[in-house]
Amino acid sequence: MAKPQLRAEQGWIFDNFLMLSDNEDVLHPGIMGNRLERGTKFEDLTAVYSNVSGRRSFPKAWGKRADVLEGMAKDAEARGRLVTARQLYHRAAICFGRAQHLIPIHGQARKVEWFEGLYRCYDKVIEWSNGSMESRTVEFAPGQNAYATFHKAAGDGPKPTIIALPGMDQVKEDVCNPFSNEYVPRGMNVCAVDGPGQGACNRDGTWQTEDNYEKSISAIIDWVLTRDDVDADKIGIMGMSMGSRWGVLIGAQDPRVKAVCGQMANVGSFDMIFEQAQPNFKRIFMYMAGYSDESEFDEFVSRLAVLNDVAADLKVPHLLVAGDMDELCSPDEIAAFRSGLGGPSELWLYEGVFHPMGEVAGQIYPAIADWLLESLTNGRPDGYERTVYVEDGTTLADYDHG
Amino acid sequence: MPKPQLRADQGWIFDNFLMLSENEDVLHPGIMGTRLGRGFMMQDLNAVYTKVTGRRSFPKAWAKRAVALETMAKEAEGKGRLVTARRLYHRSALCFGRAQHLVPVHRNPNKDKWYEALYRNYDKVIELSGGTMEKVSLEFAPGQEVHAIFHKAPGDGPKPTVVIIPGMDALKEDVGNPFENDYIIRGMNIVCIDGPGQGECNFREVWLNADNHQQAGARVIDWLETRDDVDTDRIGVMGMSMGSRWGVQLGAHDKRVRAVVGQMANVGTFDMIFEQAQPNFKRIFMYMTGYTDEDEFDEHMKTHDHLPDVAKNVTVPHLLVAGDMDELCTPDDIAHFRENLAGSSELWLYEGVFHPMGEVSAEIYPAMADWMLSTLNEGRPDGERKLVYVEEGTTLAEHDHG
Repeated sequence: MAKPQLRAEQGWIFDNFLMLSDNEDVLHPGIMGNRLERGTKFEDLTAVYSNVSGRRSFPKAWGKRADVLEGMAKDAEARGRLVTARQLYHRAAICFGRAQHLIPIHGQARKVEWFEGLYRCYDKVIEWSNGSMESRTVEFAPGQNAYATFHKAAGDGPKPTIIALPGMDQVKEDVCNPFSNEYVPRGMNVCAVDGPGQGACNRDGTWQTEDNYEKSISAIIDWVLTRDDVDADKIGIMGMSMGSRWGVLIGAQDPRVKAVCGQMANVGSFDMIFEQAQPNFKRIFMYMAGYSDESEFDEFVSRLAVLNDVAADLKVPHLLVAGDMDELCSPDEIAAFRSGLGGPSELWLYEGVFHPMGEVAGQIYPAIADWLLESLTNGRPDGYERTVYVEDGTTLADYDHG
Repeated sequence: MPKPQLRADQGWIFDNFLMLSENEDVLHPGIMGTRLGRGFMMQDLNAVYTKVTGRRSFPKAWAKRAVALETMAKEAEGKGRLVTARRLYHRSALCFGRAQHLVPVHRNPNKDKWYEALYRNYDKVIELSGGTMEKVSLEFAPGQEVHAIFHKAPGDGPKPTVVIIPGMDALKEDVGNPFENDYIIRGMNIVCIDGPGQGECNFREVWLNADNHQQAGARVIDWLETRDDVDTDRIGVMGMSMGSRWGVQLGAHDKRVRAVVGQMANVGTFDMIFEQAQPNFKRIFMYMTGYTDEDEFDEHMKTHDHLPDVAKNVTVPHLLVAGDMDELCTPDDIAHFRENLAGSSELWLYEGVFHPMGEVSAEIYPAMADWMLSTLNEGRPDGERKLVYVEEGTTLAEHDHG
């Protein structure tokens, strides 16, 4: 029987917020810009939002849209219209990914079905990529795998390569749009990963422990370095949301990483996200770590690294991109974290912007890719420190930034 | 002094609709999906919509966003970040294009300033395209030029090529997204044109008359024939909105055209769009034809073709994609037009969808590109007639379509 989950049926507050809302903002403020960047189309979002009446209907609405898109993809594929088919499989995969995520119950029948839908559709995206994408399974501990999807930049020779870390229970398929990618056009490879607590690892029951995320990604870097299209001296990390924490942990213990960027900050303590924010976040992390008892989970969390202590071991350039309205990490926590960093440090803090940062997605993602390329190619001077507060009504271009 | 315009200051009805609305839907129902497909970012749309208080503030809001984007683009270019710069110049050009369009008063100082900015920014998009884009101006009548932007598909050899015709006072820069293009990715070149009554022709006072749009289109095809990357046996036309009318005229007039697609139907009489729809449309068409006196304009319009008569000379395959809620062209107008087409004919009529078709844009644009490619490659059986009514909750994939 599936495990019971923390406050799994406490939907009334969220249901009422949804009734007052036309989209997902009550769960993830301002996220629409991100979803569009990642390849979800406006009509997919409209199809989902218009079918959501309460919290419980969210995964079903994503699942229904995914079914429709997969049906369209199959029709196009059968006609040999492979460009159309590939784009539709991609959209279907993203929607299946959202559907499964919203049921954080291991082994739940619909979740299993939607996981299968995600991988069935995404395999097609890779199959029709003309060799520009490759998936890889890497064993990082006995019987435990991490997963990677490698997107190759065009041209011969070794290139800078970015390891893209999704957030909590997120999926590698959702963080690297093969049709509109910020890294590949700039001549960088990008390798999107699922470590413990994410996507295929969760499907496998490979839960996150105190230190296995870093180990799993280092194992992926081992594999990446066997490739002749990867420049071993130019490996960067881009971590989103909880990936902004994990990126620091990896960069602090793996000297092959030469630059780290975090976006959607999770660089403070766990008190805000687990005790003050919406209960969803704690519920999801419990699922990711394989806990169903809250007290035992709290004990587990107390054993996790204090990021401010780890920061001193991060000697390579670090960029953090966040909003000052972030509901999961405050500006004070960001300042405390950055004061302990052991290398060059830069912050772009956006006024009035929440955790998902969709309000400025079209501004920050290209700029992050530029910053990483510059840092990997030319480095940053010792003692480099920049703090940019991007006030409402201004853009990054109005400030001195890296 | 600028010419006065039809009901130029009758803003109160539209102002009140805007106060009840959070986007552009009251002017162009459901257009958001279309804008996003063309390269506008969600944050650009939000920046505009949140600043609009009434009709008069719309062009200003687009221009303010455009200025912000151009500043960002220049900053990125100054740092040598050319991928970022090109995308920002593109977004800026789109926003300047919207700004100038919304002031249909010839030689209004703001309109001229925004026109110049549109071309200044789009020239950068071409300059930084790595040779994949090219602009040309061609004389089609004494002292009168048509303007075109050619987007090359990758690879050697002649390729199918599609002439893209924007709508009323719309722009070649707005209809061929260089970053996500449905034709290029399928191995087709496109050439986006400004004929009389559109963009650069209007800027240079080359007004529309009864038959000069098809003459301009034919002149562009003359030029296509000189290119060794164009397969002259596979030239198609894709017209949007009023371009769905001009495409039919071009296909009837020029036998080098092998297939015609129209989307956002304007294939009926002018009564609905000029006498029953929002006054904007008549006002804009008066600007496009160089008229300020409504009676004279009405007299002039009698010289324009009755499209069902022209249809009798279209002997190549024709596809029309429209919504049954189209506020500018009824299903009856569409049926009457199609009865007269001399060649094979297909209609995809979407239930509940308005003229701009943004509600289904991510479904129709790839499918239209597929239809065009297979039609240019294989033709369509003589006498083939398909009518697909895409009911709400279904997709094209569930019906027998070409």
